[in-house]
Amino acid sequence: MFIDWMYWISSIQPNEWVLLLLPLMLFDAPRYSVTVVALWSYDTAARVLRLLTGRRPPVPDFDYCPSITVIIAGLNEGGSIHKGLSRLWGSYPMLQIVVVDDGSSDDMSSIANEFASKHDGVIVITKERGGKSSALNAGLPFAENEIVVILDADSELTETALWEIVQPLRDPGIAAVSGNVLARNKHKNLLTHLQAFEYQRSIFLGRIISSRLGLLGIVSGAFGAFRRDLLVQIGGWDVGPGEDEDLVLRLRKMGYTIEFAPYAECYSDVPTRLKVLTKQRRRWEWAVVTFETRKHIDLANPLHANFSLSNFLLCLERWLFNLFLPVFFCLYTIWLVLFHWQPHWPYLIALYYSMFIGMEFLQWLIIMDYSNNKRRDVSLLAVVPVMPLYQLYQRLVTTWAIVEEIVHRRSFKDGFVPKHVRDVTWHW
Amino acid sequence: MQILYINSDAISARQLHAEFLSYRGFLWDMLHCQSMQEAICQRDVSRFDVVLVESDAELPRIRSDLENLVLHFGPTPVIALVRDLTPQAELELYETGIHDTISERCIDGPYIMRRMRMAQIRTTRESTRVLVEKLAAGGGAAAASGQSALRLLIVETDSSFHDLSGQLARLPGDVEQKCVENLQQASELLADDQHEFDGVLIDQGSVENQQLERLKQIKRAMQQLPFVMLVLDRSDFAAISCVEQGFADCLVAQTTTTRDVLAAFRKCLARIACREKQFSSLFADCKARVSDRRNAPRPGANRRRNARYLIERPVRAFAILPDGAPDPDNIYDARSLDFSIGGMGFRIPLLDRLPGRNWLIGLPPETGPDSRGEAISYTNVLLRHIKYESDGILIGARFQTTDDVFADDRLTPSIDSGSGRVKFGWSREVLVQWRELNVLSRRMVQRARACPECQAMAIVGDGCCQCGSAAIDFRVLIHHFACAWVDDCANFQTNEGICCPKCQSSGLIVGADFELIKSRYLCRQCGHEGNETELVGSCLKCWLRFPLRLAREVEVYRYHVHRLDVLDILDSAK
Repeated sequence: MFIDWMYWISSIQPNEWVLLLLPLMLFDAPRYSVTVVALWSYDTAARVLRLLTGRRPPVPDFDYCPSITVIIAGLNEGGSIHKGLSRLWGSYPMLQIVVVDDGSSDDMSSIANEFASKHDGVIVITKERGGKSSALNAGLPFAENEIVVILDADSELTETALWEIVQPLRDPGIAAVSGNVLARNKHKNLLTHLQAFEYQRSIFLGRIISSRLGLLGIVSGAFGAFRRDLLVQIGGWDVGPGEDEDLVLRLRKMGYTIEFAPYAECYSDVPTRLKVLTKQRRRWEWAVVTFETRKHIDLANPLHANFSLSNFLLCLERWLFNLFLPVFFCLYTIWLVLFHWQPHWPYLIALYYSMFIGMEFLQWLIIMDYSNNKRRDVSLLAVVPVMPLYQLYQRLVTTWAIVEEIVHRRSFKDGFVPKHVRDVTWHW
Repeated sequence: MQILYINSDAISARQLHAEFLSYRGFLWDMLHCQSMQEAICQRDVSRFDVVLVESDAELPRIRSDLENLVLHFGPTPVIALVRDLTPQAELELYETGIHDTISERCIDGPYIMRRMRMAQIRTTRESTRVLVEKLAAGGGAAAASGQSALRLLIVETDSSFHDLSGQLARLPGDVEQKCVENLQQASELLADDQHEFDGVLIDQGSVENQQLERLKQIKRAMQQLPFVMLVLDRSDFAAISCVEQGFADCLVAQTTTTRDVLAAFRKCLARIACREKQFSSLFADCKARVSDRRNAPRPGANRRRNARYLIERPVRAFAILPDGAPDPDNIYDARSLDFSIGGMGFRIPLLDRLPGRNWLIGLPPETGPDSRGEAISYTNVLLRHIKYESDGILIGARFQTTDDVFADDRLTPSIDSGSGRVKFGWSREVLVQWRELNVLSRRMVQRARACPECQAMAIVGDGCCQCGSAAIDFRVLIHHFACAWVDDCANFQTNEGICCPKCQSSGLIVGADFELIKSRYLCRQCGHEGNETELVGSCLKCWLRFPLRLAREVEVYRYHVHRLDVLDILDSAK
């Protein structure tokens, strides 16, 4: 059978190759594989050059130490808040912690208050539920320090994460720094393992590339650092969903750049069930559609005062990879099945599959090269064979989300934001 | 303390409110009225402990209003905050019946609060004891005129006070003073008919602990004289304790001038003179009413006004002692004869003498097929007609309506203003005795928190978790729903109303557009800044503040009696 498949491959004409590999060349290869290989090649060349010239590689130093306020906004995080606070308290010299309970029905407030009564520098704010944006904004009046770090209540930082995330902020032109979010519960099941691989690829490698190109347009809501004065000036977070992306785009419009700190690591739990994961991804895609096609469309308007080339490229990248290509992929697949159906479809699928696996493997190799915890990341190899199927599923979900957001404005009916807030906020 | 503050100027009211806030450790509530007419209307709505009047109008213009106010508020002390008044005019104010005046130079929150508490205590004391005894004795106070010389007896040993007495001595036209060094000499002088005094000024240093009893005796014997204490300590506690002990006023030695001494005595005398005048008119009015009632023809007492229904049923009769308790030796099985809407007749067999006129009659439920299984129902009767027979006594009795032994207010718990504890109309022992006889039943209505020290009831509220003070200020934030901005209230307040500083939306409505977030608090007492308040109890009597976990839990009961429904009885008879 393998021989037959090889014969089939050898029989494919060059124009058929183009037709067959069009989605691969347009969608997957440019976004991660080609850029990742380019990045790795550049860095490897630099390393070799350093080796040849006898220069030492740059040693990371933590000589920049601004005061930090960590805002932890949570809802019903009674089970994890104490552990999170215990781990965080005392992990940085000038650290203030503000816990905002966004209307929890569990004992989150009382646990946090008990912790605050025994530890200095911990403030607890309890409010009625108003959404994550309002919870983060409620922490701002109490933030007394130069840098504001946002953190999810169930997130776990590595020892040097806070040091790592503030270092880029010594440059006054940088408004925010994104931390690297990793899956803490990756060994829970196959789905979490797949997400762990995806996070390493799209957050770790993807943001390194975006950051190098000056096109980073998001800071994870789970772990990110901002300048406090800029947050106050810009009015904090707007109503979600996608408030983290929205804030970063607004900061970019002000002329600031966003950095990524790849080794500022934060472990966070990822969805363990397919239904929850689907809902989460749909929500992310709704936000992309809302911001890139409606609220922040002025990023692509050359006549607008906020126009800049990097912002335009960022917008273009989002339109292409987040909006156009997923839809195109689905249309292409339907077209292929309807009009170019051939008896050798198992061979075609096997071809696609093998090429996808090849790309995933390549990405894994580069992840391993950049990783500072190779023992942790070596296990990601186990899910490489399943990743193409996971990617396919994600593309379907993305397409679904794009269509429902464009047609129904679904994001403004989502329970992520309470109804009394949804009803009065602006529907972009 | 409930304060009714009358002033046409709302800004002054707010300033005074702010001044009162600095008076810590005392619970108060202030209602502001802009006119005296408005204040009189408030009298029917709620109860006040003190009425504070401030008016810029001249005395003749507000005199009738003040008199009207005093008349309406009766025993509630009325205090006037006076500005630009001569001492003579200030004294004339007392003729309107007000209880105290506070001049402009002393206007600060703690001082006003102290004077109000002193006036409250003084009013309670005077209304119950001094005036009645004085009137009964036919005695009158010395002239309260501001023109005549004051005859003062000064009891002092403290050398620091010699200056003050010396200065008083240098005012021969105003003061005639006699100085003694101890209470023994003072009592001798007061007992001597040759010497008459308008007031006694006692230096606190001259009174030793052993002489307190003698001081009490002197004050009791000389109730027509105002006693003023000169204390060394400027604290509220000292001043208020003095007034509680029967002194008319209290001065602080270090800050008192001769002018203060004279003013204090003149005010005391003016106050007493005014009270006497009021009481005399009241007494005359009462006498006239009693005389009218005696001369009025009596209505036909022997005539029954209501139809009688002959209902013969076994009843149980309890004689009631004057203190409301049952007389255990006089509980009888009797038999009813008839019932009417206003009374009943019954016979107590084998009895030749009645212990009293006030009885409780218990009527057991009817037995038989129509019995509804009810409890014994009781009614309080006052015996009107008694007929002694050979085999018992026939009694005609009227149902008590006005002074029912089990009136609701006697069975319902309330808080005693003196002790701060739960009290009933009858003493607890009386109610227990009735309960032991199965007449009363009790039901728990409240589990209240009481002071761990004195067991008086406590008010529960949010307090500082560090010092327990209720004087805490929360930092209040506004959350604007539409743009998710959260900031201090002050940053949202503009001349046009509530306006969001982020998105510039104006005319915001609470609840619909924004919500208030009560965040951290700052304790004004200890300066502690905290996240979570603690529930703190504040004793109604001793004002002790304590964490609620230390509070003593008191079960409050309400007593219940199954009352006789006469209409039901009469209905069953038909």
